[in-house]
Amino acid sequence: MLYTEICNAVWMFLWVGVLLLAVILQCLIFMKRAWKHALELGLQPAQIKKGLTTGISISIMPTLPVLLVLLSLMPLLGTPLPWLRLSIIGSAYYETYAASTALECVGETLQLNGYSVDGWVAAAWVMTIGGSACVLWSSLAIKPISMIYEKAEKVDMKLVLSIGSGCLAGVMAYVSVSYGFSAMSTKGVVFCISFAVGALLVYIHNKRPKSKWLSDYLMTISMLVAMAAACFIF
Amino acid sequence: MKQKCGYHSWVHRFGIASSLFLFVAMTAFPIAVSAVYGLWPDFKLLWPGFIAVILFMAPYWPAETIGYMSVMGPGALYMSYITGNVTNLRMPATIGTINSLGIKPNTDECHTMAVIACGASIITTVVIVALGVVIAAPLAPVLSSPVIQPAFDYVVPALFGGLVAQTILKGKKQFLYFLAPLAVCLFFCYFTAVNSAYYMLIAIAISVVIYVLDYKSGKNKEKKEA
Repeated sequence: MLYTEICNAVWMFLWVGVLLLAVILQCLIFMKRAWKHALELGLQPAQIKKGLTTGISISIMPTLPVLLVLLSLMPLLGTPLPWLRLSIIGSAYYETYAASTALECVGETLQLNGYSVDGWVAAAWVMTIGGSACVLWSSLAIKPISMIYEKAEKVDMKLVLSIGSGCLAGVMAYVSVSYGFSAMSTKGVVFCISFAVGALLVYIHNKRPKSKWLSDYLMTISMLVAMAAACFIF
Repeated sequence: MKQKCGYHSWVHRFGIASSLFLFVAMTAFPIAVSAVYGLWPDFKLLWPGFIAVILFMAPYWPAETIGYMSVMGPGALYMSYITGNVTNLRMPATIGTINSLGIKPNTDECHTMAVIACGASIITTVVIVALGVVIAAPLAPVLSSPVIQPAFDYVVPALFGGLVAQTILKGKKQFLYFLAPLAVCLFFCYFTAVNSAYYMLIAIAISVVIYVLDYKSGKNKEKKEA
């Protein structure tokens, strides 16, 4: 029996659809409560709306590679399983690795119409249960780590702000290397183009502080210019 | 203060409860598949696969939770761990938002806006991926066209270049302080075999030490002047 006989069953689509609705519901409940809290903190509704639209606009383009991974996995694993994995707890970089590892364990290879239904079931188990382990971590670890920060806030708020700025600079250094300069590769060129455009826009914004739109669209503009440059260069 | 405590404890209660609910619903999927078709995997063969997959990602869990906590806060982290893509989607959406609003990291305002930005980001991703499933057939040739393929291959470095520029070019001091953790990451990346999740934590720790020393020297100066 080939995996193609079961991998696109209607009930699986329904299962994934219901789960995704639950994820959206979780987000909406979180956002509604945070919106109320933001107003209590003195943030203006216009600022909150701007936060919402920035979150959306920044996420559109980086979601497209996730979509590409989904399109490439659909012929190999059917639609519901990669759709589930790439929408919930999944990562575009990780799913192919998880599926290949599972199939290797049962002596099969991830190839189009080239493995059995048992291999598909093994992939479904490893991808979902192996990939979901991080939720147990987040459920156990986020609260204690957050409590440490809250305790420090009570001792010295300015010190906590310094720690926050230090963390942010460290994270920026990490992503610069990890996503830009981890190898002498074309990735670094694209990163540098985007950085240069971003730096130019920061400079213009500092000279003309009234042009607020520049800071709002800085990331989007630098990302689109670097992506367009990648099309010409590579 | 009471409102703040109420909100914060609600974030943890709801975050943990909803995460565990979605964890159960997610892990029930392969169980349902096996139950419906009567096809149970041989776990004696499969256990190394579980271990390999968990170990592949495990170093990033503490690194992301500790490293991103100050910027994203607990609410955004609970949401992000449910949908994944923390570093390449949720973290940039949050930092981009706090940059554009001019909010300081590690404040209540920052963590509250992080929830709104992250929620918006997650819903955007879920909707785009769902649309992709519906219109997969006509979309595939467009997205995989050789002319625009490089744009999608390089979307993540293109995203981070602008984000890093906007974050570190706020002042000369911020830029200079950024160079130290950058040098540390470059050293570990090119001269050692240390996993990037570990050197991320080392770079963050060094950066925090620099900022704390700067804060302390500023405080001492203020004391002397007083």
